[in-house]
Amino acid sequence: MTQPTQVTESQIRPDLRAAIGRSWRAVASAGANWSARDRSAFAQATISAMAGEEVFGESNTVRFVELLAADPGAVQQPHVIDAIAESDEPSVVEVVSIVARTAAVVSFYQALGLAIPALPRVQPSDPTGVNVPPEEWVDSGAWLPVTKADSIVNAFSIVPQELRAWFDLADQMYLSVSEMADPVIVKGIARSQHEVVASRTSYLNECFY
Amino acid sequence: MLRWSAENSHYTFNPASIADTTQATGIPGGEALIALVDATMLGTEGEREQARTDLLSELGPQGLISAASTYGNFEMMNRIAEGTGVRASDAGYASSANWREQLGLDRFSKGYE
Repeated sequence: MTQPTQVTESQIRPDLRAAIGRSWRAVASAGANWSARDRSAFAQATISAMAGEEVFGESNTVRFVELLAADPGAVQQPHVIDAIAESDEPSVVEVVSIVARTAAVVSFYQALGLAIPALPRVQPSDPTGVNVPPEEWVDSGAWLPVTKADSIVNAFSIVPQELRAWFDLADQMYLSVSEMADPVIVKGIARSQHEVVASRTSYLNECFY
Repeated sequence: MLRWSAENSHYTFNPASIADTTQATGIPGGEALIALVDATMLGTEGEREQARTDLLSELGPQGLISAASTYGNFEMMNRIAEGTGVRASDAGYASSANWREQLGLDRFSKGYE
């Protein structure tokens, strides 16, 4: 009997497929700082940049999106400072969140050899403006402020909507916080097998995490 | 995380295998998992298809899907770290000294400057 060479979309477990769907819809809806149209444009620019296509954009923010999507190791603090100069810190946190979550979905489908789902139609709406106020920000030594300086899990903490969206996706793509406490959990594959993938990916990306 | 989960699963994990793919991981399916990551990030279309076929054969459809989703998650983590300039916590950095030395991770300076 011939071995299958790929999986199909319908074999993706329902909770993971649902989380990807929520993340995709979220980037086509308004955020705290950017309109649905802007967010969708950042997500599309991420997809294009990861495919090696040129992203046409005049602003420092779009150039930051392109670099973070296609060559994240090349991002330096001046790129972030230039992007902040065009908006503000919460807006750039939101941009990082959109690029990172879009990259997660694109990378997942690339690894499976499946077509990347089309972004949903933009739901015209304005930013909500709901950010943690600056007096509650902490300088952790990172390039963007947080509310608590203890680990990467607070990276988006000044924009609560993005923090929730990140965890919602990561809980299904990898492990939830409670699952992370279990060294022998099996979620599709065994915990140690998840960690082989995580370690090799981070190693090739030269990423400490 | 990897060493901790391997110890609790009673596997004899070889940390050097993460940096040197000629070495065995000691984790069931470990070589096929690493091959999927390498092919997806660096390989040709033919190498990617071969890696998927091998992983499907070894761990089945849910194995491939879970490996791909964890890979996607850590591509996300990489962009969060690189885009925000976030650093490792003091505790996390201190507790990983042996691991960093074995893998040569201290050259990845953006984790902790």
